[in-house]
Amino acid sequence: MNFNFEKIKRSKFLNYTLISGAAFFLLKKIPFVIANKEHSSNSKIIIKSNPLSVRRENSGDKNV
Amino acid sequence: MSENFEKQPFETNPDPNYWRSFKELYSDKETIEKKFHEFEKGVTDDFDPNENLSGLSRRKFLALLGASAAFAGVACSDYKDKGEIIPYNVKPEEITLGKPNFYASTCTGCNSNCGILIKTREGRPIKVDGNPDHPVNQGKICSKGQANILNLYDPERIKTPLRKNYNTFSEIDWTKVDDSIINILSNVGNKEIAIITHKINSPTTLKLLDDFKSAYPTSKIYSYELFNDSIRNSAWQKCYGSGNFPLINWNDAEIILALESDFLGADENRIENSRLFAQGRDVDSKKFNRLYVAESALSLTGINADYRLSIKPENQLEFVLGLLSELKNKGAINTNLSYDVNLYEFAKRNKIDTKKVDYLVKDLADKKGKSIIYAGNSLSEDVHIAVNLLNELLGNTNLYRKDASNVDLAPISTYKEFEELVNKMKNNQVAAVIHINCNPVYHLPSDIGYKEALSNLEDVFSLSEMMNESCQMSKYVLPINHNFESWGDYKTRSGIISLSQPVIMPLHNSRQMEAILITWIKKDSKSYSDTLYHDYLKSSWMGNNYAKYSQSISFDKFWYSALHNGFISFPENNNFNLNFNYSSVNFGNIQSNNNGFTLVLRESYSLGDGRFANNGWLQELPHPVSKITWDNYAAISHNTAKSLGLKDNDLIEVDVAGRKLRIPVFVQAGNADNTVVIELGYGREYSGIVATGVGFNANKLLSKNTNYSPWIYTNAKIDKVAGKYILASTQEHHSFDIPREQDLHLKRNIVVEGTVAQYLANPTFIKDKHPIEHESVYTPFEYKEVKWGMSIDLNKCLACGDCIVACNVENNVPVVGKDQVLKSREMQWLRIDRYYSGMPEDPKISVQPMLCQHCDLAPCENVCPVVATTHSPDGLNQMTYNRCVGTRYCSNNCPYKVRRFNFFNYRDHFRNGYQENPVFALLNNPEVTVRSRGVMEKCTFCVQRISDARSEAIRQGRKVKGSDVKTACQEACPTNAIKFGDINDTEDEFYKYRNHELGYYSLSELNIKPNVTYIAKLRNIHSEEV
Repeated sequence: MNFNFEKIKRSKFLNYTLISGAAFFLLKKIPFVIANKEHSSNSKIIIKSNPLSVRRENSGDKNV
Repeated sequence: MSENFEKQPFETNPDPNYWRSFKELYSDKETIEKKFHEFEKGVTDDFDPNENLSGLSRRKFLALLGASAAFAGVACSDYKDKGEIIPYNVKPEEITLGKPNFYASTCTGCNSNCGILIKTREGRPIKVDGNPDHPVNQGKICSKGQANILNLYDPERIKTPLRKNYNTFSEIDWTKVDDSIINILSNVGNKEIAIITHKINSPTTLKLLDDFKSAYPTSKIYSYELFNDSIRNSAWQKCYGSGNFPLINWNDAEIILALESDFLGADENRIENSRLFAQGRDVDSKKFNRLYVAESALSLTGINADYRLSIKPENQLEFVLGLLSELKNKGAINTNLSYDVNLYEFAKRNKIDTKKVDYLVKDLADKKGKSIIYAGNSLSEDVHIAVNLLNELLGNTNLYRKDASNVDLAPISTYKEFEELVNKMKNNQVAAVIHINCNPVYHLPSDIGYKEALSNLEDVFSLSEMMNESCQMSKYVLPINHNFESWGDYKTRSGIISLSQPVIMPLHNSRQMEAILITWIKKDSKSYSDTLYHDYLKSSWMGNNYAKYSQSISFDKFWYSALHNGFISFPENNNFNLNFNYSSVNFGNIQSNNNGFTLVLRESYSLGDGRFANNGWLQELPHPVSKITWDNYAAISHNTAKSLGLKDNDLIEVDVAGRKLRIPVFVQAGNADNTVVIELGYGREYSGIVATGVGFNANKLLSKNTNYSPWIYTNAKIDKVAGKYILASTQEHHSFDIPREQDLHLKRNIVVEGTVAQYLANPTFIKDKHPIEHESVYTPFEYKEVKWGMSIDLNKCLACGDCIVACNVENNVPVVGKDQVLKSREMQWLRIDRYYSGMPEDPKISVQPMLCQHCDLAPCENVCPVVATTHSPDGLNQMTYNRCVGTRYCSNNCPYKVRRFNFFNYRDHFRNGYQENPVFALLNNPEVTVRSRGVMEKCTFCVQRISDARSEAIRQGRKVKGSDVKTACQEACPTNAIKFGDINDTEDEFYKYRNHELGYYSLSELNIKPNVTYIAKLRNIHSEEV
């Protein structure tokens, strides 16, 4: 087996690690922010049945 | 289009094969070539991976790949976080998580006001079906009723009161707007307050409007309907003195002659008509009616006819009087009336097959008292009077229902009354106009001048669910509750009052329409409460219906049982008078003097008068005849197109007395020559993003003056204009036939039919010609328990499409839009294939609902590389969405072309994510997966309903039975053409359909053992033609 490894400077390696870490941190935050936005618009719609309505047990429920 | 088109006249090659379009009929090379390819050209557009990538080295690519994988892994942890799920702290008593509740209510999609059952899950409605107990529609509703659930969750509903400032609308508080309007209405002086509404079917709303008139004495109500039966009723009153045209016992009619009447498609209560008509066409009882249809354009009723005659509407009077004369000559009827009309000379002049006329005369003479002649609403009063006369002379009044009739609570206003209103508006005699849930600016003929008069009036208030053309011209626009958020009562049939109840609290800051009026009556904006109209309705019922019909029980019991059932029924005298008034028989010109084209304006099958234009499911529902989606068009006959040099998609200008419209052409087989037929309800300018700009507004062609009827105009002109407009038709999509093969053994017997005479002579004639069982190299799998199967009776299937919409609602099928339909990417799991046979001028039509056949030896299952499609032990062809990687090999292998691939996430793609809107997402059925991009989907036989039934059976300690499950399409079909059940259960009603002597499998010769049985269509034609 012959692997080609490119030698990388220590400083470059540290730069890459820093950038990756920052990206990791930001991406953890962003989906949460997006989800929050969707959630906040969802929370404006309140689903509530009308207490005065009369339901049936099932679709085949006969006349009373 | 290839050169071959039109070079192979059909007349030189009269092979009676089936064809789906004129391109197929004339062997257009491009069309034939398409059939050999799985997908349309351009279907993988946008998928070119090389387009946007610049040069990239291997090392860089791998580095990016690694980084993306790392980031995706990080991001993935939260991608599902669409919001918080909070369990109930205090669970509402009526909600059991995972179990639906049902509420009886009434549909307000049209004037039939069918009884409905609304299925709710966790407090929100998700499905609407007919109320099985309601005596009129008996468990069925039309496609508009099914799709109405989308209107509830339409993200573009008006959410809050609006005030117009110059050309923009701004939000305003309810209290402020009520105060302002009450102030305006209280200070009108002697000026009129005009209230414009649709036809009023609610007794309580009518009472409320009377109260409104008491509070504001200068109020006047104007009601209208774009399509109505006023001509029919006016003719009836002239003939019989009083009352409305009666209901017909279609199930008892042996001969039906429909004149320009789409009684199975768009006219009146088509659900009831369809059910009764199908009862008269039953293979089990061997009872077959015979349907003659005489119409100008092929309609849904026309495609189900045994005999069809193309007659222009202005010639119908001559035709009816010709029939009368001929029947009199034959001694079949006894009358002193005589008319100088020769039926056969009329037939020759209008190129009608005289043989069909012979059969019609013979049948009407032989079946006196058991036949019915029925004229459409759009025909003139003279035709209706002539039809009433002929029915009277033939004794067909036997088929009029004496026990029930349609009820009109209040008459609709005439165009003359609207003209008077407009004059008053122009003369400053009208202080305010209130539009109550209607759109007169769009619907009324332009020559009445309503729009212009309204533009000069400041105080215009519109109460509406959606923005429309009338709202655009209003000072205040007030949002009203959807039908499913509203209380109400409706009386459209004698002896029955239906109730509607809200199944969900208003989603937005809207109010019940009637409650708004009560607030104005009380002249106090603070008097509004959520129960205002509920209390009014209840008190009205206590004083009227309870007092009249049911004092033996307490009012509360009466009220709750009425709400539970959805209606009350009681005996009611119909005052039916059948003494014909012969002095009404006084016809003007019998022969028409039309020198130009005849323009016929019809109601849209799916959009009604346009109120459902913003409903994507209905826009995408293929037209039952032309299979066009998303647009209306001018339908013309094959010969007319040839003479004018027109082809599909060419633009024409229709000119009727100076009123013009540019619209694309569609060449429709079976239409009468020199007739143009256009559906109304399209071309909306101010509506939601789904409706706006879709189709062409043919309301411009309406006129208050007409020499025939409000929907039929003679002496029209047609001119070809430059340009084309592509119509999205699905008629050639998913073809699995090979047209016009000369070698008979290559023909694929997809459609199998015969005649009633053949069936009565030899009941097994279908099975003799098309045996179902074939030898197989496979060892058959033994289905020991339940094995699910379906049968579709093609004698009852009318091709109405209600099943398609029901399936869409039940299974969260997305709307894809016109551009995707053009690429054959419509996502409907169920389609209705329509085949023509015979001559383009007089085609026979065969229809076949096509869905996944759940084949025992399904070719799709063998080829999936990831085993995403498998077969269940109860006979279902299953689809595992999260295994599917989208090779589409299964779709390639499916001989029926029933699989649908999600080329896009259509919820995101269509109209910029319209279907991803949080309000719209409430529409989704939680019992069915919402599919994402890249997966294949197809009919599942409503596996969610099967699972539900199985759980219930286990809970009850028994095995699941076939009759426990009703698929969505089966539940919706108004004629009960679809049956579903257990193939192995010999006691199930379904068993006899699975093993019916007329049963066949589509493409049975492939021996893949489909589990859908089609009951062959029998045409009830005269035996001499066998």
